[in-house]
Order: sequence, then structure tokens, then C-alpha cells
Amino acid sequence: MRDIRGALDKAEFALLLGWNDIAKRYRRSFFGGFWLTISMAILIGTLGLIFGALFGLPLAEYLPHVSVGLIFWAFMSGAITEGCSAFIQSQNIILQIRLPFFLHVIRVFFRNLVTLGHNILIYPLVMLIVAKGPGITVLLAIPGFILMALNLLWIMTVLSVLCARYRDLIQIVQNLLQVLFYATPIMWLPETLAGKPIIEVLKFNPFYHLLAIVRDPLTGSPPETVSWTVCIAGAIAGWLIALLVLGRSRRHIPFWL
Amino acid sequence: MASIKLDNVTIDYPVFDGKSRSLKREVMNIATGGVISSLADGVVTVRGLDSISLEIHDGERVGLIGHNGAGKTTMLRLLSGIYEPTSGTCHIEGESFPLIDMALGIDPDATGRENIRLRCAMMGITGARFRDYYARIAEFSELGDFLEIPYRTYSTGMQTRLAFSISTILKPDILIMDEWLSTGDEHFRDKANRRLAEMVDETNILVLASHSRDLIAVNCSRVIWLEHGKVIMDGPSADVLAAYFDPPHRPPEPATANAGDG
Repeated sequence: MRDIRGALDKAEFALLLGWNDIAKRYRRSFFGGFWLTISMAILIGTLGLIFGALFGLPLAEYLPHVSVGLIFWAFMSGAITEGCSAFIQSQNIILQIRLPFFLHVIRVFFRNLVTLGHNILIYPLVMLIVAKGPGITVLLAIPGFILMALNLLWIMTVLSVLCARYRDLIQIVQNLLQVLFYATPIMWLPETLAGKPIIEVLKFNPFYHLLAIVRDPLTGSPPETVSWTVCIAGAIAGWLIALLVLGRSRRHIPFWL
Repeated sequence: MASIKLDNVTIDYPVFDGKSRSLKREVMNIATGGVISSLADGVVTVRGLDSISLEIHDGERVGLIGHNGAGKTTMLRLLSGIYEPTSGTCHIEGESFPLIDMALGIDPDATGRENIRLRCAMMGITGARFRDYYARIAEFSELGDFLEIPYRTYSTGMQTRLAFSISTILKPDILIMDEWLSTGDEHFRDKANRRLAEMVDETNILVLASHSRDLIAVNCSRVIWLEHGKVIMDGPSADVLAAYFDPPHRPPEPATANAGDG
């Protein structure tokens, strides 16, 4: 607990570092950070056209679904993958100056938030193209996103600790995320599978719900109650685990690096 | 006021190789019901510090000597609050600040100004305080307009000047140093040495690890000699330095040496 409060006190440092991580990558290019937007837009355009045709879905329905899905999936998987090496990456700093450990997690989270900020610019563009307004439900995306962030932060905290100790876990997580990409309705619509038993199995995928609470409002439909429940319960249980894990291993982390 | 109190502190490091750091081992251990755990449980630990008890009071200037691997770095990290003891207690009163790697956290692609910003935030200098510190750092570094261009374009001397100017801006309660900082060209060296000396003067407690007899003799009043994680000798600089540096080069016999007489 004290670690996390301390980290929030010094959050400015984490934000500066996170921002600098992105700035560094694009410092000498003309478009700078907007390369993020450009490459995401190209990906969405290509996949949207191909898979839209493949599934025979109208673009006005499919394109918003794919674009918001891909943007937020990129955010979640990026945050989690990089979260695994949050401490390993900051090893230099950790071994030389005493800072709250959670600070290094915030840095990685914020870095991915900056990327998301660039990518989300595509969203209004897509809505313009398909000439569709999401309606008032769009406001639900705000609590949805806060819940998503809370869940990501505990996952990142737990993984950053465990990955510092067990380096194989980084690979395991990456593989798992690859599989989850297909098990989460990003490229496909849950409605397509409606009525089939497989969808009930897929609903056990927590990312199904994490994505739903942000994407559904943005594409104009309120998320199901079960999604809210899963995400709220996940955030509470997850943070309890995260506090326990961080509290118990805090003193060991420097020795693992 | 600052003080340090170590009571029977031991620090064991786990040393991981590729195998023992892996999950496979842990899973194997569970899967085999712990039968082969005695073989697989191969996490080697190294004792960095071995039951050390000592106190450092406000105003003391302590030198740390010992051969490579004696536990100096471990001790510095313990006193910086980075390592926590495996057993025993370590009580540190006051804020300790390690002045070890001047270039810590410097991003070569960022400009001098951005680097000052980053480093200051790392030391907790933000907001309104930052402007004041920035001006002082900029002035001391004498870099002027160079602060607006990337750090990597600086000459080595300029890089050192910037890193030094940032690192020495704070006045910590407890100053922890590993050797003296090297400080570039001649003109700047005098100025830098003056600033360091000032810092050392003003700090409540100095802990300086070094291999240099002169450095310790000049700056420290008390010297702790570490070997294999144990304190071999602890006393006034002159005595300990003489015992360590002057041949015959072996530790003085413990007081129990003449117990055989009785």
C-alpha cells in the first residue's frame, strides 16, 4: 500500500519517463508519434476490408467494430506485454535509487496510454466514414475505460513481479496473448456465433468482457450486465492479489534483477 | 539529524542461472511431489553481508574498504535503501542519496534540458521548485545554448559536466559514494571538486567506498574494513588504513588469540 501511495506521489516522474519513451522512438521522424496513428489506420483499413468481405458483413457495422477492437486490443496487449518487463527494463534505476516499485508500472502504463491517445484519433474518422453516431451510450465508455485501466494495472503489477523472478513467464504471456487475440471478438462479431455453444465457452475469456465495456458504448450499444460484473469483480479481486504479491515480494525484487 | 543502525544484518543473494530461474523447475518440483526437489532446488545463495552490527552517528565520515567482492557494493545498496536485510534489522534515519552513477537515467537522444527535467523528477524535484533548480544546474554546467540540443551530440567533457551538475544539486542527509566522481576537463575539475567537497562537508553522514588510500584519508574520520561480508576492522582512519594498506597484509589477530595461555 505504501509503495503505491508513494508511486502516486511521484507520478510526475513516471509520466515524464513514459512520455520520453515514446518521444525517443519518433524523435527524428517528420510525422513523429503520428506514425503510430498511420500504421494503425493502415492495419484497420486492410483488415476491415478483407475480413468484412470474408464474413459478408456491411462495412457500416463491421468497420467500427474492427477499428475500436483493434485499437483497444493493441492497448491492452501492449500494456501487458511491456508490463512483464517493467522492472527488468528499469533495472538500472531500481538498483541505484530507491523509488516505489509501482512507479515503474505506471511508466509502462502511461507509455501505452500515449500510444492509445494517438490511435484513438482513428475512431472519429471511422465513424465519419460510415456516417454513424454512437449516440448517448458513448458516455458509458468513460467508466468502461476506467475499469479497463484498473484491471490492466493490477495485471501489470502482478506480472512485473512474477516476470522479474521467472523470466520464462514473459514468453508464456506473449503466447497467451496471441491466442487470446483470436478468442476475443475483435476480428469477428459475437452475434455471428450467437446460439452456438462455442460462444458460451468464449465468454469465459475475461478479455471478452474487458473489451466489451469499452467497445460496445463506442460502437453504439450498451454492454451486457455480465461484462460489467466480470470487470468490476476482476478489478477488486485482482487488486487484492496485486497488493498481496507486491507487498510480499517487494523486498526480494532487487535481488531478482 | 541522521543516523544508521545495523543490528546483526545478513544479506543473502540468490544467484539464478538460466535453469533455476525458470518455471519448469518449480513445476517439476510440484509435479514430482518434491521427490527430486533436493536435487533441483539449486538456487545458490551468496552471502553478501554476514551478521553485521554497527552504528553510524550524525556527523561521521565513514570510509569503506575491502577487496573486490568484500561486500562494499552490497553495503552501499543496503544503506541506500535498495536492499533489505535477509535477517537482522537496518534502521536509517534521514534521507540517503547514492551518488554512484552520474549518468543514471540519462537519455542520450533527449536534449540537455529534457534530461535535467527527467533527472530532477527522479530526485523528486518538480513543479515550482524545478525552475529554481534548473537555473542552478544550467549555470553550473556552463552549457548555455547547448542545453537545447541532444545530449549525444555533446563532447565527453560536456556530457560529464551536465551529469555532474545534475547529480550534485541535492544536499542529502546521508551521502553514499562509490569512489570519487571523475569530472572532465581541468577548469571544470577544480570547480567540481570544490562542489563535491562542499557536499561532503554539508551532509550529515558520508559513506564512501574506495580503493584509494588518499581519498579515504582526506575525507573520512572512520574506516570500516570489510572482507567476505564481515567487518574485519572498524576504527579511526589512520589505524585501519595502516592495517589494510601497509604490509604485512593480513588482518590483526582477534583478541582471543592469547586465550591458549590460560
